[in-house]
Amino acid sequence: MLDLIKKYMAREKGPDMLRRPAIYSLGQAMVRYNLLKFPYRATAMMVEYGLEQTKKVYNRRLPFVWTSAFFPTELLHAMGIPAFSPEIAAALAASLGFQGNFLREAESRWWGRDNCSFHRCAIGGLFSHYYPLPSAFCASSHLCEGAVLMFGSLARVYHRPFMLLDVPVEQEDDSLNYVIGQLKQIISSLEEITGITLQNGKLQEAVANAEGTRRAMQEINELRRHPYSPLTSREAFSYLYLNFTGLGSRAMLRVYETLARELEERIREKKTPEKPLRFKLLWLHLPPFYRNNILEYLEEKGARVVFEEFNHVYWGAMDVSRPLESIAGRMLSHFSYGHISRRIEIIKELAADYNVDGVIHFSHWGCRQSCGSLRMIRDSLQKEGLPFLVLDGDCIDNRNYAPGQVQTRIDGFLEMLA
Amino acid sequence: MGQTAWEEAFWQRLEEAENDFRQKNGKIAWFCSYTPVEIISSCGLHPYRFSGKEGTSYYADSFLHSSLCFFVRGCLERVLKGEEKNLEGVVLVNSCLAMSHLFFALQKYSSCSFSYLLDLPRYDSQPAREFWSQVLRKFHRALSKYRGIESTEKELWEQIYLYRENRRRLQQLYERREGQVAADGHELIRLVEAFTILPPADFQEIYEAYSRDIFNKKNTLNGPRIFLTGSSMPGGLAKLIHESGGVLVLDDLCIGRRILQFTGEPEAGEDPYSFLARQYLQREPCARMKSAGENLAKLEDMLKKYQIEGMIFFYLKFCDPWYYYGQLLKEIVKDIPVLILEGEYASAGTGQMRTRISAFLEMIR
Ligand code: SF4
Ligand code: SF4
Repeated sequence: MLDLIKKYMAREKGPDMLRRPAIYSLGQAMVRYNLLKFPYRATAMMVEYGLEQTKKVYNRRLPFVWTSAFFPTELLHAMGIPAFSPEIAAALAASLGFQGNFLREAESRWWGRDNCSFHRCAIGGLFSHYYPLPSAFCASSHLCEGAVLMFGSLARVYHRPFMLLDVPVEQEDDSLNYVIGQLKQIISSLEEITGITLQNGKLQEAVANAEGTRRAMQEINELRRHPYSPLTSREAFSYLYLNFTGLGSRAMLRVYETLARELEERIREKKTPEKPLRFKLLWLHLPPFYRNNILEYLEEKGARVVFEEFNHVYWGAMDVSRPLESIAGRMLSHFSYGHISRRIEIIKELAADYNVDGVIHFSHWGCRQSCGSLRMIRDSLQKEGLPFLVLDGDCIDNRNYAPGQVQTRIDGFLEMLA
Repeated sequence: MGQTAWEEAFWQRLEEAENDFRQKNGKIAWFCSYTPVEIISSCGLHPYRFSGKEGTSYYADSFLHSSLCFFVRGCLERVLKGEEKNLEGVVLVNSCLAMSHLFFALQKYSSCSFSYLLDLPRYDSQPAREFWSQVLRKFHRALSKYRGIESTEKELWEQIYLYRENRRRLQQLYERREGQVAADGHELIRLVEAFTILPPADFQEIYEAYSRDIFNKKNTLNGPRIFLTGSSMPGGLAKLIHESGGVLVLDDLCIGRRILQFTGEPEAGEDPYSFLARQYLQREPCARMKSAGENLAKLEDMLKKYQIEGMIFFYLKFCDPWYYYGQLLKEIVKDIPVLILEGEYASAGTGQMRTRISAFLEMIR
């Protein structure tokens, strides 16, 4: 069924479907009646939730906002404002095979190919009216600078408010207060723009959901250390939608709690197809989202990505009685933000926790954040005796994807591990 | 358009003064125009703006990713090659991701004994000013500690006034350019560059010679009235516009008009950090600030007021902040022609640039 949908979407008029809310209702019904197959019940729940949210966005009856990958969505869930993530939409477009339409649209308007294709795809999507125009653009400044710049530009072009959460680099009291002040400001701006008032107790509820989710994620991450853990890296990456848009929602909490239970059960029942595993690997940054077999090729060769830095739970316990402090604390604690040594320390920690034999960095072209200081990561891992492979590529734009070359590089790497 | 013997001697003298300065000990390099040079000076060190090595950065490229802008790679190249003598320290601002990565690399791979990264807000608001003033206070403390001295607020005020005087002097040159202009913008930019390199007293001398011997003796310039904006630029680009027959009336550059926007008075009881924070954040935003897009309306007014006939926008390849800004310019500025130049940090690029600039000037003439 999924292949059929992909085939349809790849047609020129295919993406037109995306703009019709009815298609999402149909999708929801298909999930509910098991017409679409998912590896986990949790995945089905996530897809149903995602379709519901996207339907709301395309309905255009209610206000909604665009959010960048690390914006504190707790605020939005507390207020009941749907979030549209252009980066996730780009990943989805790539996985359904029609990202080329959007990339070409952006490029035809002179948006060049030296910046991140997640953003170029989003720009093309909006210019060609496939992506919905929001009531406001909400970005946070940590990690991804491209999103800040893109949101700011689009807000200016489309005369929409641009809300920026400016996150300082240092984790100090001054930084915390600065972020808290801005969160308050953003809430009141959102109230003004959307006409929705933040109800008493709702922010606490969102933070309680986020805290529950954090615990469930930790549980899952712990379960993934088990030798019988069946969750593949590709499956783990499929939850990115929630990580980008869901924190603070009841739905994300339920999905992750369900996933934790399912994993536990499968491990207990040892339902895992047991293939002999030669190497365990850690994946840095994101994988390509268009049709590719990198992760599967690794598995074929007896090497498995057992964890991804993106799934690391970097923030500490959130205190429901102090919701804004908790959210601000989460913003400031991202390991990939601030000094590069923070990221390096976490990579080393994860490598030790998951007892990996090697580390792969997928260097997405145009992502200055993740690629800028690769040399330092390499040097540090080398010191630890950890083999490191850098795969240059693009997560969204498949025009330069050469499977043969990638496989040769992987073969060389695995030979080195042997 | 040729230079008089006086002028030639002046520019040569300026260059010599900069070269002499480069031999000094105790130099602290800075890279972004939001760097509070006053604090560095008040600790008895010599702040100066570092410019990268133009051309290919063969050496730096193994330390910084090839998708980072040419400016930061050029800067690392110069440091790692040991081309900068007596460099004691580096002070960077997290203005963009490239700058942050440059900081990590300099800290790890250079032999500088002091390195510091300043956390600059992306807003100008009261909370942002308070936050930035705390960052500045901590920086002053860290630098004093490094020097093993007790640099006081009084000393800091002295430096603030010294630098402010020079900024005011340069701002005078930027005044009254709505009508006919006598000095081309490339000269003003060159003087601003000197301001970012020389100690305040040395710069004052240079400035006085310029305004006394050259500025007042100039004749009116003729040609298309140009506005220049964009990211860090390879040396000589502004002059190229002049040589190609344009008149550079105004710029919107970090090392240009914007760095001079620091002329206010302290409020009663205001401490130097709050004053500095207010002055640095209140100026017109660069591309990385949140209000860059919003500010375009003002820019359009300015273009009208200065009767600008063409805008030249340059950005370095792989520079996200200015790339996005340029895209916005294209979408928003419709009333006057805009020439968008993408380039590397290399004067070699000027051959091709010359042709494009000439063609552009020809078109609007
Ligand atoms: S890949 Fe990098 S630049 Fe692109 S959206 Fe993600 S963090 Fe931003
Ligand atoms: S040229 Fe652009 S990317 Fe490079 S340092 Fe300047 S603002 Fe940053």
